[in-house]
Amino acid sequence: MKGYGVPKSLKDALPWAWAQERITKSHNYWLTTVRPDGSPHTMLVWGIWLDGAYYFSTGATSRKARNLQQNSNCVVCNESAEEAVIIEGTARKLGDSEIPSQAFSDYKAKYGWELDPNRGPVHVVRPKTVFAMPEKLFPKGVTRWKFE
Amino acid sequence: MPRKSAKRKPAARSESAARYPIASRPVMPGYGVSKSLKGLLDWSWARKRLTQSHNYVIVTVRPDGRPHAMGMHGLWFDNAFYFGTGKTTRKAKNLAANPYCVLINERLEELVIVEGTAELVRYDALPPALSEASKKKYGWRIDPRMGGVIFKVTPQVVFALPEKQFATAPTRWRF
Repeated sequence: MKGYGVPKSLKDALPWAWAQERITKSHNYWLTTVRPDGSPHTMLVWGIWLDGAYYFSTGATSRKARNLQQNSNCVVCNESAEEAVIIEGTARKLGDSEIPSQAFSDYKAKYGWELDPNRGPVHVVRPKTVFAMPEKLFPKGVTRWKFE
Repeated sequence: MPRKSAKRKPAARSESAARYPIASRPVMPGYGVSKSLKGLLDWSWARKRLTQSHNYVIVTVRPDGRPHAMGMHGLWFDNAFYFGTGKTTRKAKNLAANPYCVLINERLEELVIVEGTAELVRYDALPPALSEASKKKYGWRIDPRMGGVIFKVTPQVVFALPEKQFATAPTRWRF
């Protein structure tokens, strides 16, 4: 991040727990996918963070579902712009048997709604790179995590 | 007042259309959103949130098709969004190759999503009142000596998704 005064040292970088707490507790999220013409599409989603991945469901014919079929790259972000956790990764549609049972109970506990693959396929986003952008700790707290 | 129309035809590029985009209902199958136009928000609802947001997120797309999102400060001014960035930042490089972008405000429970295109604007071509608006909002004027470049995002489609009125108020405006 040239020009913003972000230090190159890792002193003051945030612990992963900082990011994990925010992406777990967020009520709303936004998800960005890319249309076949190269334009980004961003929409509000609900979902849960479980074992290092993000689970959400969407209508089978929704714009995001169609975009992800052609281009699995996406971005998910929590609801706090002043403590943004930006997750770059890839999304995959899950078969019913691939959905962890805890995803159903976590979703129900969080939103009071069933995570129902019959109403919309469940997708999992696996992170590749995660950025934490804490406004009040800017620039020292800006942190990036890479996932293998 | 904004015109409310269910039709998807693009707005005429008249002065009034630029100020008052056409409202319609977004396509959101399965979420219980009303198909009727009753409850659509007034454009001033979105404009207020776009103007008052302190932080924003800008989403661009890399040449390899991967989306990129970053938090920003910026100014919603006269139905466009202005933000500064370094000349070689990822978003500046992405926008040079692909001007499509998405802008959102900072409140997901009253989310406003702007789909549009971004172009570089020369400092001397900025609206004269923009620098004062920046001073008022963030405490500094727009100054070419700060380095970097200014992008202007021109909206094509704007979505409003107010969580508490999700059944009746989701609104789409076309410019």
